[in-house]
Amino acid sequence: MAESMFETGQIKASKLLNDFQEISFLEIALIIVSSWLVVYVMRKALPYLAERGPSQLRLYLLGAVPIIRLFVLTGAALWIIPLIFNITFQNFLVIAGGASVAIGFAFKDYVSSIIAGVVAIFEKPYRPGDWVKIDGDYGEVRSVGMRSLEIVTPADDVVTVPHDRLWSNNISNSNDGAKTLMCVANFYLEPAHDTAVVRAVLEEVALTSAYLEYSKSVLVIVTQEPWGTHYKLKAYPFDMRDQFAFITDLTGRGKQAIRETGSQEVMVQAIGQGR
Amino acid sequence: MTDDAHLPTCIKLHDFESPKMPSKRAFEIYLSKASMLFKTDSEADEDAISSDQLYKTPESELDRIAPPPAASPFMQVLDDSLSDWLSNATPNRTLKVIVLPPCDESGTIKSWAEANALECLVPPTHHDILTGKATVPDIQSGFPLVIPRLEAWMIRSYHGLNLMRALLDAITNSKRKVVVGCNIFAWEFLKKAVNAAAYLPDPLTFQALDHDQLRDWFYTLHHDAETQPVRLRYQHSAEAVFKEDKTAEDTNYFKILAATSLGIPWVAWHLWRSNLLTQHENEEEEKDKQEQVDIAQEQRVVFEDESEGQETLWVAALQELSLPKTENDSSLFVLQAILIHNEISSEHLAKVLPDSRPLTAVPLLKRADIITEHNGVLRCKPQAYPAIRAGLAASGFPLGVL
Repeated sequence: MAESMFETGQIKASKLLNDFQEISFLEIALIIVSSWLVVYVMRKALPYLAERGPSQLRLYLLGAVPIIRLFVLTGAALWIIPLIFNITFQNFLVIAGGASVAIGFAFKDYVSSIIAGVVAIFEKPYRPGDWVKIDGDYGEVRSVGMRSLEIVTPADDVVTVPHDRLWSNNISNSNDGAKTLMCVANFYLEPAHDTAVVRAVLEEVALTSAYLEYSKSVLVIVTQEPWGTHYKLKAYPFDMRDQFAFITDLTGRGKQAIRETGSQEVMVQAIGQGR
Repeated sequence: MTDDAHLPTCIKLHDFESPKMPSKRAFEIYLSKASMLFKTDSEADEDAISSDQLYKTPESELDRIAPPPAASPFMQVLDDSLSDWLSNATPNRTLKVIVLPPCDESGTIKSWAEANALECLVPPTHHDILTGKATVPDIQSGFPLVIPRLEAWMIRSYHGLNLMRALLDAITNSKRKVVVGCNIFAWEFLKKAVNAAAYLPDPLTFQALDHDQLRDWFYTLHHDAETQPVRLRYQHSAEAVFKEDKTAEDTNYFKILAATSLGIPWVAWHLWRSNLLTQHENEEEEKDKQEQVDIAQEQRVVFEDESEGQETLWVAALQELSLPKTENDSSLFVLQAILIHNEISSEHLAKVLPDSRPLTAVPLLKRADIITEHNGVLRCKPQAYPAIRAGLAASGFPLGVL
């Protein structure tokens, strides 16, 4: 009797899949549909609210999308797997072995990107709404998917970047979750001028900008180059979405202020850069 | 104000706290905003008297029931707070800085200075500031001096900041007693741009008026109405606004008014006046009105001022004003620029904005009753300030506490 029970147990344990009659396909379908629905609604609703709600909440709402998706998909997977598979240690090894072969040969990059996507959620090298530079592409992270992220460049191009770039590339994040980022306006001047005067007027150009974030500092960096003097006017807008308008404002008014001081901008460098 | 205990107090700027919105009303506002977000219609509550039967009370009548100045509670406190200092021949400090909320049309500090026969420093024109022609007069010695609006000495430009630095230097080096007034938007800007807080330390402001103080102020104004008395009833319930027994009054309206107006007297005063409505008088409507009163009486609403010959004004519920939607929030740049300067002409407004696009929002803002133009000068309407502030805050513009 005991021997027969042991044999039945052994047979049952060695079965990889549950009996078809035992699998509730309806339940599995419901879990998949509900998970998809939750993820879909979150992907649509949170960015919608983020664009229309207070700007302070924008980045939190956008950043919640990949986190919610990860939890929903993990929950759904943990719910479905026991419904289909007969989970034992022996079966786990079988599944893991099979999966390793399949991943190793066919889905290596895909799975690498998915794992990198999960790591990215916790390490936060980029979040939806951040301004990042990856492989020379600079833009706003529009969405963070399971396998890749989408960046919208200032030229309105959408660049899809797989998460696995995380393993090998440097990722430059301009705001790192903050609502503002540093903007730099460059000015190139002939060397014969009063640096103190130009520094002061450039600082005031930033201080009188309508885009300025008051809580951040304004800096003017001066470096001497072989062709003249390079001024970098660094300041923060109160909303990073205004960064290009802010730089345009600083550049336009900065050039005018420099002219009023009697200083001259260099011309040769501009021609040299165009070649 | 009925007694001194109900006057607001003069406090340090960083101690300022706005009155809180009653939770139920705050929830209703969030709900209504959420429903607007998803573009569904919200149902209006049943009122005791419908809005169709009411019209805006004429200004002359309003001046009798809620007369100006809109800043009278603050003027009284200003007097109380500064009289000792003014009379002291050797005060510890010769400088007093008062930071006020914006949209003060009545010029609280200037009125106070004039009432006390104090000299006010006349600011230069924006044109002179922008062209670098404006200079700071000699204020080294003499009788106490008042600079009612520091923002009038500045324009958000290179020359504007230069003049402001010269003025701050002159104030710091002056041996006179100097009272400097400044609105919070200009103050926040000047703190950043010219480090104004270092020149003008320990700014004071007034604590926000709470619902009790607002109620007492409007009650006093209403009872001081010299000629024919007027009874005030809430539009939604027909209940009397002011009763013999103050504890039996419905305080919700004044709580909402205090929170909506941020406790700023001139904002509350304008909102209060805009909520006082008059009923159209004709036979049919008289009949309706009687029916409304009958219904209210059936509902055990207490009427205490049913004496013959009294005119009734209806107090409408506070409506939340909203800013018109413009591309890239360009209207907000206009509003921020106006608030920083208190008032500015369209011509000079163009010079303090990043480009000309936001200017297209000006006609829209005028139509929406957010700003007003008088002799070519643009100002924000006090009753629109809560909506403006909320709009600026939601878009991340730098704001002060007031």
